[in-house]
Amino acid sequence: MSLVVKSLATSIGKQQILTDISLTLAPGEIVGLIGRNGVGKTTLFKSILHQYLPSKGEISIDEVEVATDPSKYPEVFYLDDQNLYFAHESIRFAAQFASMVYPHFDVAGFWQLMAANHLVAGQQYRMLSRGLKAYVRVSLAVASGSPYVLLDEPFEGLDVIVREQILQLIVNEVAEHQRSFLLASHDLAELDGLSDRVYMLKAGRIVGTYDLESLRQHAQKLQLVFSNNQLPAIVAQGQVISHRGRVYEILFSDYNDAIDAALRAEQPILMEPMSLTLTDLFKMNLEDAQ
Amino acid sequence: MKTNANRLIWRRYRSLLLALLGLALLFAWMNTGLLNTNARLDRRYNPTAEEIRTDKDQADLRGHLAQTHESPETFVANRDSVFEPGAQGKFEVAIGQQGRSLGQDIGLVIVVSLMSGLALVVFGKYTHFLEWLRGSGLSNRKTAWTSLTLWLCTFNVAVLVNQVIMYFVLNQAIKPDLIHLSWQNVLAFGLLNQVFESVWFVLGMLLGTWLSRPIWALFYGFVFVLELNQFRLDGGPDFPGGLSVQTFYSPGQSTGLVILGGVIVLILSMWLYVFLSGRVAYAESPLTVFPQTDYLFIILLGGIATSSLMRNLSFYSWVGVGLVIVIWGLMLYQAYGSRIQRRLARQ
Amino acid sequence: MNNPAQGLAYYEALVLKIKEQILTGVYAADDKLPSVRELAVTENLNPNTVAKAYKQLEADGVVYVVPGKGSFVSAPQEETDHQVQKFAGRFKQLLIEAHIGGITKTQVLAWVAEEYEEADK
Repeated sequence: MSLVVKSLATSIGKQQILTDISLTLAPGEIVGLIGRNGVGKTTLFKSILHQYLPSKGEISIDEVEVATDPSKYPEVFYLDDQNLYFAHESIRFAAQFASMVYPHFDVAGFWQLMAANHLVAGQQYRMLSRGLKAYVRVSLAVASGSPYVLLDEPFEGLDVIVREQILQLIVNEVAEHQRSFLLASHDLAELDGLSDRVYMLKAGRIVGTYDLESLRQHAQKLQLVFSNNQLPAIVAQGQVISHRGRVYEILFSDYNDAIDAALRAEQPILMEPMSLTLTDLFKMNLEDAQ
Repeated sequence: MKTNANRLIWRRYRSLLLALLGLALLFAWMNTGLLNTNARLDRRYNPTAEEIRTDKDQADLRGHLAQTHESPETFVANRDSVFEPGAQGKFEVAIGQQGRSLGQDIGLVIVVSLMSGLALVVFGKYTHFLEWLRGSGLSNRKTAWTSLTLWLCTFNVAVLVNQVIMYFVLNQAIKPDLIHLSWQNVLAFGLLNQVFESVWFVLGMLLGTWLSRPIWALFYGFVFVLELNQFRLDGGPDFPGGLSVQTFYSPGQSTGLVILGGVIVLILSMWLYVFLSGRVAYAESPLTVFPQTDYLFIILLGGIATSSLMRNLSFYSWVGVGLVIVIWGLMLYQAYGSRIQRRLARQ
Repeated sequence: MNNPAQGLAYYEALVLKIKEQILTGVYAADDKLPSVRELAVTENLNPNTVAKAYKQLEADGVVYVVPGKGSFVSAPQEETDHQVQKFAGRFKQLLIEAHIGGITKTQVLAWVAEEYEEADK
């Protein structure tokens, strides 16, 4: 039972924005959708919700294709924060309409969340600070009870306090209720420890999917310096993530004793294991295409 | 729980739909006032033979008739024979000239009908409500159909209320010799109004769906419908000279057929609305939601602006000409402004 | 010693971190560890990662789970014959590697001293 997107393609006017996008969101996951600004993350979300009309592909929620049965849509929660249906209305309005769409909307729970930040029903959404707006949107997501939640740049520009509140809400929903979150972001540091998996979006395509923890277990990122500043042949088995002067950061996706021994045989001046982060994968992908 | 389309759309549109009903009452009140005046006014220009002889207002006409050696009876018989023979037989309309409406400024009615339909769709687009409904569990078809029926029903209730009030007031307030309201008469006008106003309403909805930027759509709709009514900008609106229901058709033998034709057009428009509404992508587009049809829009607007320009020129209405040029400018700006700005920024 | 957690999977690093915290006395025996949710938020980690770490800690005999309550620190493990055998092989292997790699006995002993000193503080 998952949210499955298969070979989705979307164009706006004459421009092809997304091509052949496939992704899956299973229960209890936090999945990242990484890409630079303007690459099509929002377009992807809006295509999943049929606000933009995809030209190709299938979307299914719990094995039911939405094209044939759109009644499954409330299982996916998404708000386009640039085009909010309650942008000029009150928080009460937002909650009322949400409760008409999401069958398990937790009204009491929602108002408890509002009270935690001293927000009242009559408050106008457009008058709230950026952080509180984000908080309201995430609270609606939490209260909706939808098993799949799509969040677009959930932490962007938030102060520490509200950021932690939102993080707590997300982690809670995943740990307690096995809900899954697809978080779109260009901020890699934020998603690094948080995501189970990431999809990397570039030029409208998914250029990589990474299961981060298993990658960290098989792979090894090393900081290496060689005396004659010449990279030995064994390095070809890995990928150079970056280098500054003589210091190379190299990723070996399948690190084993043989590679380890071969490296040591070259008597490097420096050979240090480093933690593999999302930023490394991102940089790798950037270079791939260049 | 399946999403309740009716409840959702009603809740969002409640205030607008009630405003529509209020507007109908307002128009009813306005029109009954106008009617009274018009009726009396028209009687002055359409006197009976008796009135020609005796009324002090008809002194000029008496003088004229004396010169042409016509008796008032002959004069009245000639005047009344000019109009379509069948009309009088079945529908004894007796206010003012045959072919004139029952006092309602029909051109205005077209404006209001079209703008109502347009405004409802534009409101949905502007508030991003229709966009949000895409993820609400309702199929596109259901959303379109529910909004269409809900709005059209409310509109028809508004029109009906308006008409009932008017006919009621007419019947009570105006002397029976001035107006003869038989039930066939009232039914014909009533149905004509309901059907054709509904047609304009749905056309307004279609226009609102087709044009991309919500507020601009209101502007274009208004321009379009004013032009249809051959609005002149130098004096009063020339509404009756324009495209109104009863100026191109007055109730006669073929009323039934005309109403049927109207119903067919209505059903086709409704189907078109449901069809198109589901295929709209809520993405940014400069002119229309289906960019392949952009050219159609440009041609339409070009035609409207040109005809308006020519008419205002022919009346030497320089204010009108100026305004048309301004509208042209605004249209070009709306369509191409952002593209030009971008090109300038790149340099 | 440098940060021992570099190059490990995040859950492995977390396991190591908690073990170290127990050794240095941040957690005493029978102390309750933070819930999965709490730790996920403080460490900015996925709750599944934290859950996996806790499972590993339980498998290693370092914590015990009370259903419905959480994870608690176990009593310090004794140096039983079983434990000695378990670690003997791994140590031997590492010592050989270090020896061959030119690491002196002094250095190894210094590392040993460092670790046990820190723990005893």
